[in-house]
Amino acid sequence: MTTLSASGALGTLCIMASLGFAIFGLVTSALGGARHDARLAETGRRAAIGVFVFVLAAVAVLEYALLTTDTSIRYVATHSAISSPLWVKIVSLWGALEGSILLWAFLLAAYTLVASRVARNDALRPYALATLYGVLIFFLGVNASIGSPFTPVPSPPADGLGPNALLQNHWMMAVHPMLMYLGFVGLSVPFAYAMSAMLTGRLGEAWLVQTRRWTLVAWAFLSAAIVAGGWWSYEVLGWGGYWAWDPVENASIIPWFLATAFLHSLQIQERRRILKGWNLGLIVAAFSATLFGTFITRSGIVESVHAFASGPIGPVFLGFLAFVLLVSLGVAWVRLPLIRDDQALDSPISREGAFLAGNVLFSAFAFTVVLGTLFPVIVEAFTGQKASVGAPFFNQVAVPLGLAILVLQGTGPALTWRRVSGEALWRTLRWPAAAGVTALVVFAVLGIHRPAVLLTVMCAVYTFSVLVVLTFRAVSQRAASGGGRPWAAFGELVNLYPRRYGAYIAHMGVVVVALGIAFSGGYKQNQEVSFRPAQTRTVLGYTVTYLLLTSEHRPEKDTVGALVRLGGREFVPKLNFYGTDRQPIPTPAIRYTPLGDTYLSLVSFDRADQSIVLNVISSPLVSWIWLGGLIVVLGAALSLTPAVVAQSARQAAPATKELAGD
Amino acid sequence: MTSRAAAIVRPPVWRRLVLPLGVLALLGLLAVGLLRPSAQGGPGTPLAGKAAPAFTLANLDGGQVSLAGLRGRPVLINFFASWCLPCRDEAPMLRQSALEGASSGLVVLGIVYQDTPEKARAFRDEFSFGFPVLLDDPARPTAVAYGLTGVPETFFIDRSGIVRARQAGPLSASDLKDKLRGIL
Repeated sequence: MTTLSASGALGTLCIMASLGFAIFGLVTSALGGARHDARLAETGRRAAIGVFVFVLAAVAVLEYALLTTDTSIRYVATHSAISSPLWVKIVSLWGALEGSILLWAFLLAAYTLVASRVARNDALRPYALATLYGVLIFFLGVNASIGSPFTPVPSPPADGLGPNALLQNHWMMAVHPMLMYLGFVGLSVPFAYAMSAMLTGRLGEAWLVQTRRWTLVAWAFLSAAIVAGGWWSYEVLGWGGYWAWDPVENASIIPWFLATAFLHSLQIQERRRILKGWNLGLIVAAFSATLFGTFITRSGIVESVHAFASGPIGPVFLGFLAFVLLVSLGVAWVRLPLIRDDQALDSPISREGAFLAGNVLFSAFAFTVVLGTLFPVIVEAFTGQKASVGAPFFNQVAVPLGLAILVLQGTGPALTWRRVSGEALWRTLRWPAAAGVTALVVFAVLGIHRPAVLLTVMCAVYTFSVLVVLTFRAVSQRAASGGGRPWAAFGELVNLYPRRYGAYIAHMGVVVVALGIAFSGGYKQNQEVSFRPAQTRTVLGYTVTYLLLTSEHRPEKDTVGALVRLGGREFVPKLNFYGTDRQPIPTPAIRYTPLGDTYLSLVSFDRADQSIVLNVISSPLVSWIWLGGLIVVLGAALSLTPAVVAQSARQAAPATKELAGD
Repeated sequence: MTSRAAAIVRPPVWRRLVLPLGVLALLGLLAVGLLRPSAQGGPGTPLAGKAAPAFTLANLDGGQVSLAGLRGRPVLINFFASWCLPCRDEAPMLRQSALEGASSGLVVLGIVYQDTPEKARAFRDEFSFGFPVLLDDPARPTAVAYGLTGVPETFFIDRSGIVRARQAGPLSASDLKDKLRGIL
């Protein structure tokens, strides 16, 4: 009865080989660094190729097994089925725990390979690579032992169970997890450089400058992933929302807050050489938060609507999290004299002051989310009672913090480094402030009465105006001094200062997201109504006609849809029944418009008399969140581009590389 | 470098200890959360010591089986599904128990969970179950009455109809033996 699983054995061998290269790379890199032996360090650097090739082979083996539904592998037998569509088979690689850890290891190996190729050949590199190998050893080790995606099945069934229904219901599942892992894993590189800086005692700006791009890339992926996740919830879950402060969502937002804080405070260290310890702490915290998030969603310690099945993985992740935190703390403790800043902030009213204030807000936000997520665990540890904090707790904290961040992200760019004269500041900020207050009054007159929404409008208009005023001023100055046309001057400025204008764009994106969140949160309406066939009813001011029930049978699912007419167009909100799962998965139909969506979700139907219950949701400006997310990512992309010194530029561009020298 | 650093005023001890202690508290909390028994499902069930919820369900081969009609005999109820791999692993053990326990009056009942009758029948035939395999009633799910957490899950009911033990997740040979001893 027992059969050998050929692909299981091959996959395990690949993981083992990859693990071997990672161990070899760790030892050679660390020794190369410690002995200042360039040849040894070079050997360690090249081990990244071996790690990557074999983990790539393991991914290929698992993909092949998924595509051919090779049920002799447990992972395939439990998470895939012959009838699954092709794309679902492909993305099943990360549809469950073991595969997602393999994907993590794969992306980490890819990042390590890229880092080993592009990183500057300096004293930091061997230890940074050693750290990356160390993290790789953990993930590959999990894959080689308790979290193996290649565990064979002694008596293979004829067909697999099929993937989780939620995962095969929307193409976003192919995109969102990938973006999330690219973001999570990307934070490993700055973390590795931070560890290297502490281990070598080279705590200057070098490690920050070298990893700024890595951090920005990871941050952009993380931002995109969070927005994409929200959109996925919106498109799939059928309640018209996009964020519920579920532990899985919190797990993604905590590293984002910390990485955002890091992205800003690293600039203070670049410019002012202060906040060394703070930056080290932030990146260690951000990296640990990715492990923490993975731990809480995989260990079953908190209840979550979409947690992975709990298993032996929890203690292992906790162990690694403890290891990372304790080693980082230990090394930092030893290096404490070097980490302390020998300068202080000149004035709180300065660019660095604003960055620092933003840092405090982001960290406070991250801390609150950690606290809220762990609250059930805390209460149970002390009282033995089950308790939980719901979305209201998070929303109450998020609104004031979010508003403060919104004001700061508008004010920060208007401030100069070191100190600002009150008069100059007033000259920059008076019109935007007036515009913000005007907007508040106008919207209040127009009938918006929710304080949080009004304040968001005010802060958004203020921030937007500051960025426009700053850009306009820079363009007109440049056009005046260069004699060029404003558009040409604007193009030159963007080429010269991609970081600055990238940041402006990202901040504008945040404004757009904030407006989307405020209006869709504050003015969402919904009504559940029942319809008989061919009945027309007025719901939330819309004329909705239900025509008839449709049904469709496919190998992997049965779908029941309701043909509904709204505003001259036809929509088909559906309920999908997957395999043996009794719980239907909805596919709502959404009428997207720039100023607000109409969301139709089929709640239930009666085959006998063809009547249905439809949930109609009206959600203003919700699309702005997705649009804003895209703008943020575009801004980050612009920030990543190198400064181009235009030939015609009369004044020499300030040496952007001046900071690289330590 | 060191001398310059030494010249800087060192923060008080409590401030230097805030971070390490905070980290330790966090890790401790996570460990407590992880080790608490309820997180793991555990062998206990609120049904333990209480009368087993009654049911009358259709047999795969037609006819009905009622738990009430089995009063006076020890009953092992195994919830399973054809798509569940651990169910495949423990299926031979269940067949064996049904054969061996018959002399002491043991009744083994399989209840199919979220599965089609065809696949359940194929599963039963593959493992040559000699005991009745019942189809759950979607209108009044027995799985809900028993507070099923997943499949496989096994309940051990004694001669007077009291639930004595539950096994959430796969059975090991020793689990099965111990728990059977409790009802035989």
